Amino acid sequence: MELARLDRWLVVQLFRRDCPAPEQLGEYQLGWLPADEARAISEHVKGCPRCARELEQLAQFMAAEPVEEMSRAGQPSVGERVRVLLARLVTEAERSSRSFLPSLAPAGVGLRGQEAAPRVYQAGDIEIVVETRPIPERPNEVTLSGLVLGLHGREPMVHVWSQARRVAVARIDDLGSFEVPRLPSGQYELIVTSSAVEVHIPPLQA
Amino acid sequence: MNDDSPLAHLSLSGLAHRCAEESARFFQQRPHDPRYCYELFRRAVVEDDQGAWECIYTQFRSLVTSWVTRHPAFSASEEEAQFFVNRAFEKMWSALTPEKFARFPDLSSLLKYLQLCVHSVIIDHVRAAEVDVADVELRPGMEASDQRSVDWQERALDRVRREEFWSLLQARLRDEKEQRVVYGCYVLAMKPRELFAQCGDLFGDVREIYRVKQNVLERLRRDPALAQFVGPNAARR
Repeated sequence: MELARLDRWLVVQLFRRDCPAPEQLGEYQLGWLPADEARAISEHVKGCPRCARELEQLAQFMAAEPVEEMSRAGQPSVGERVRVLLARLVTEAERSSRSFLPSLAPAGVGLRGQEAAPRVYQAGDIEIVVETRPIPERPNEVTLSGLVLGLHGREPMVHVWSQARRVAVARIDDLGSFEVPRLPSGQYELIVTSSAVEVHIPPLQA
Repeated sequence: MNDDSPLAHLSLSGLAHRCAEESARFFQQRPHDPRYCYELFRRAVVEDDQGAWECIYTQFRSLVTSWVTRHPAFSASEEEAQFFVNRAFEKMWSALTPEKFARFPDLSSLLKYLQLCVHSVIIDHVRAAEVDVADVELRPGMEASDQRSVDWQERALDRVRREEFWSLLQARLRDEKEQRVVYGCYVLAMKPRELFAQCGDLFGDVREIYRVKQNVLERLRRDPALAQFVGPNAARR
């Protein structure tokens, strides 16, 4: 056997066989290891230049990108937090029992042709009417529109989510109306937001 | 529901939305509410929710990418940043068990661990590359061509066979000098002059380290018991 081959083979077999894995060194550095493990690593590092260098590199890396720095702003007070509300679907029975309910649906929202009936959601003092309208020339797409009442705060928006991905965003105008054109048919969740509050609407089929 | 209600009631989309909103505040160093992103991690790890993992990847990919590109060893790795980004998330996914999750009380600690995973995957890569280009110390007079003829395709024995080999090797080392040379040069991958700097009290000079190493190699080369590990029929991984 060639000497160089044997030398090379020994390198491959024995290279850093006793060195802790990088994540273990990292946990040691961060003080997350049990005392006996930390002691063993400390002893090893004293005699292993490569591990010592890696620890130094890790310390530099973690110091240069401190997550704590970014968290320094802290958490908002309860009063400063965005209010997150879960809306519920208002049933037909509830709608018919509410004498003021017809005024929620503006003149332009209603059953037309094969459109689904508007759905009414409520979250606290906020009411949201949602309607989907088919697009005749695009049978696999719909227009999603609606009306939001009682929403306070700046920059009112509607976010449309599907399968944990945001697929569309629409502004709510001064009258509380919004429209999301050309949405592929499917199931969606709407999230109505402003600077002060956020309303999560249960999944609806468009 | 108000902002003190259990986060478990939010849908995954709702949670992802809030996490994105609060993360935007986080990156702007504004007061932010970390509960939503923390809940995403909780669902991903404790409830094994694959959708939640995907949301975490989407949400923190750019942060992880910035960590990768700023790691001191990245530029020398000759790899794409996306390679390490994916490996870092994979490492966190495989390492964070539901039992371990209890060690992370807040989002900050989880992100710190994710940052550690970035470091780990890059160093794993560096270590693997170090084996491939490890300097082979030539005996004075040996031609470099002999070194290049080494079979680079040989790979490590499996763990059991490696332990057997290590026991066999240690039994054949005659004294402390040979033990220190073998351990220092092969296990710690130190160059002879580095080894001399560490334990020069044992050796007269650096050349003695070369001589001891050469003697060990010559002896092992003739050892028939070693052939079962190194020969053509040796077990491979």
